[in-house]
Amino acid sequence: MSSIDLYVDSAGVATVTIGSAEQTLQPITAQQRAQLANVIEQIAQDPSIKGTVLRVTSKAAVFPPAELMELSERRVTAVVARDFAREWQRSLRRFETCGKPIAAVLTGSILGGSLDLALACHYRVIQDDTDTALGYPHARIGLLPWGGGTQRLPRLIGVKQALPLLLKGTVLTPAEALKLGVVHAVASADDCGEVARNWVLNDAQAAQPWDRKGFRVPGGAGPLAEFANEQFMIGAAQLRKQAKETQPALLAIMSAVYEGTICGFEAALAIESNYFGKVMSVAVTGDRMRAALAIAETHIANSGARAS
Amino acid sequence: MDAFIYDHVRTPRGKGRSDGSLHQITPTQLAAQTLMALRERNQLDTSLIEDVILGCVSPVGEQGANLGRIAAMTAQYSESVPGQQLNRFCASALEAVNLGAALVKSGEAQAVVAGGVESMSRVALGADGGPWYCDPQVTWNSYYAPQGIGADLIATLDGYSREDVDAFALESQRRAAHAWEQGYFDRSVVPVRDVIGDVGLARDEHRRPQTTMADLGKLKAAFVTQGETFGFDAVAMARYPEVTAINHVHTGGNSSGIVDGAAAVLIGNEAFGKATGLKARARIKGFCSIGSEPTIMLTGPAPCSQRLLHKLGMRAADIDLYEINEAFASVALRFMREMQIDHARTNVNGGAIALGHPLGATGAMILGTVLDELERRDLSTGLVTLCAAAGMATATVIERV
Repeated sequence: MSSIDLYVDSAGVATVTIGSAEQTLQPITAQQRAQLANVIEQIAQDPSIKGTVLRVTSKAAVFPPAELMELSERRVTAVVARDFAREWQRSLRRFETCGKPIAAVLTGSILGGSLDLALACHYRVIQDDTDTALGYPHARIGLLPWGGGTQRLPRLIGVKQALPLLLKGTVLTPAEALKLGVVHAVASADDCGEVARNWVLNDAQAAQPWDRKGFRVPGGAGPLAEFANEQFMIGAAQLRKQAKETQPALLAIMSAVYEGTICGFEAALAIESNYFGKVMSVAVTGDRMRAALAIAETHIANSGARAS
Repeated sequence: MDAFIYDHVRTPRGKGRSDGSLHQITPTQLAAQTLMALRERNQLDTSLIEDVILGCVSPVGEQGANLGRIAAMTAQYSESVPGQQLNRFCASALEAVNLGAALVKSGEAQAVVAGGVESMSRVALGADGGPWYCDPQVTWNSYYAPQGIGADLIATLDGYSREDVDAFALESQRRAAHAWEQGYFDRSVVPVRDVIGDVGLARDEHRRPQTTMADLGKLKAAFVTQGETFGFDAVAMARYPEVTAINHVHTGGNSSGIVDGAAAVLIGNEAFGKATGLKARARIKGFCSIGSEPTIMLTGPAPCSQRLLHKLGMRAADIDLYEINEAFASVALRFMREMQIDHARTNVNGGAIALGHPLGATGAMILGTVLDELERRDLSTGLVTLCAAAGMATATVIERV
C-alpha cells in the first residue's frame, strides 16, 4: 500500500487516506513522506479545496523502526541524526501551516509517525473501538519522539499532563485521549468521517493554537511554572532513581520539554531534534533498540498480534 | 593598604512567614534601614561612600533590579553613591564584605558599605527558578540534591546521631538566649520601623529559648520525603556509593531558621578614618572563596578556612573566635571536627539555628556578631565562614585594631 489517495468532493472537502489495517505507519516511509508532501502542495494550491479530511489507519507498530536501526548501525553523528528528524519535522510544519484546515480521522494503532501526523492536523477524531489507541511509546525502548511530539503534546494538553505520558511511553484509549484533550472527538467507525467533514465545513480553522498570536502553553512553562518543581526538579531526580545511568532518552525527553516549551515553536522543534540527535549518537541507544527488536520479533513469531 | 571595619549594623531577624513581624516590610526598606542606621550612628557624609554592595540570593521580583543602588537611593545616600547586588548564595553578604574590602585594600575605593538583605517571607527560597535545581541537564549532570540531603549525608558519613545534632541545636538556642539577655547584641541590632515610624521588630523572634532536648526529639525528620519519595537519596548515593542509606537526622529544630533580615558593614581605609574622625574597629586581614563537591554541598567551610589561614601564615589555633554559619547542625559539627577546634570558641553567642538565616544577609550578620564579641572579651582575631550552594564556601579573617 504505497500510494496516497486524494479525492475531492463537490463541497470542496479533500479526503486523503494513508495507511491501512495491514500496514504500520511507524515510521511513515520515505516514499510516503514524499507523497504526502506532494499532496499537501496540491491541497495548498488548489482554490477549490476548502479543507481536508486525513484518514490515518495504522497497524500495531513493530519497534524500533527500521530506519532508526539503520542510523544506529551506521553509527551516525548527532548532527546526521538531528537532520533526519528535521526533515520529518519540516514536512509536518508544512502540513499545519499550509493555510487549509486538516481534520484527522484516526483508526488502529496511532503510535509514532501516525501520531506525529495526527498532531500536525488541526482537528482529530478517533475511532471508538478496542483496537484503536494513541500514544508515543518511544521512552520504553530508549527513544524520544522526533516528529514534534515533545512540543505539540505539551502545547495541546499542558506540560504537567504531557510529560508523564512521554516519559512512561503511555498508550491511551480513545476515551482517555479525548478526556486529556489530545483528540477533539470520539466517534464510531461509521460516523468518524462525517464528524471530520462537518468540522471542515462548519468550524474549520487552519492555524494551530501555537501559531496564533498570544499563544501561551496551557498551564505555563519553564522553571517558574507552578509544576516546575514537581515535573523538573523532582522529576529529574526520579529518573535517576528509576533508570540509573542507562536511559539517556528519558533525560532527553525531559530536557526537550523543559527547554522547548520555554521557546517559540520553531526553536522548540530544533531543540527536540537536537536531543534526538544526541540520543541516537550514543551506543546504549542502539543496544536497547536491538534488544527491543529481538523481543518484538519473538512476540510476532509467537502470536502474530500487536508487538508494542 | 588596609581595609578596616568602622561600624556594622543588622536588623533583628523576623520569622520568614506571613505571620512574621517583618513580613509587611519590603526588602528595599529592610536594606535601606541598615544603610540609614550606618549614616545616623556615624554622622556619615555618604558622599564618601564609593559603592553599596548587597548580597541577595533570590534577586527577583521585589529583590530584583539591584537593591544595592535602590536601597542607597531610598536611604537618601548621596546621589553619587552607586550600588550593586551580588549572589554567592548563602555566603553573599560575606562575599559583599570581601569584595568591598578588596576595593579598599587595592586603593580603588576609600570607603564602601557592604552587606545583604533577604526577605524570605516575601520572596521565597527558589523564587528565581534557577537552573541549578530546575534545569534537568544541570541537575542530572551535577548530581543535584537539595541542601537538607547534603546535611543528612554529612551526618551519615561522620556518624552524627539525632542526639548529637539536637544537642548542638540546644546549645545554639541557649547561647542566643544568654546573649540577648545580657545585651550582647544591643549595640548592633537596629530596630526595623514601618512606614509611619513605629517599631515593627526590635529583637530576633525565631528563637525558642525554652526548648528542651525532649522538644527537639519530637520533631519529625524534615528531609525524608525529599530523600526517599522524590529520589534525592538515590542521587546522593550515586555520588557516594559507599553510603547504602542516608540517616535523616535534621529537622526544623536543628536546621537554620527561615527568616527576614538585612545587615550592613562600613568599610574604609585609614584616610577615611581620618576624614571622618571615626575609629577603626578591626582590620579585614584576608578572605577567600572555594568550590567543593556540589552534591554534599555543605562541606566547603573547613577547606576554605584552612586555605585562608595558610595564605595568611596562620594556624587554626591563632583564631580566638569562630563563626560558622549554622545552615544545619551537621555543618557546624563537621567544621569543628575538621578544623580541630572547640565549641567553646565557636558560635559563642548562638547561630542560625536559633536566630535564623536570612540568606543574602547572614554573612554580614555573623561577621558583626564575632566583632562585637571579640571587643567584649578583648580578644584579637576572628574567622567567619559560611557554606553556600553548589559546594561553595567563603571565609574571612578579621583582627581587632
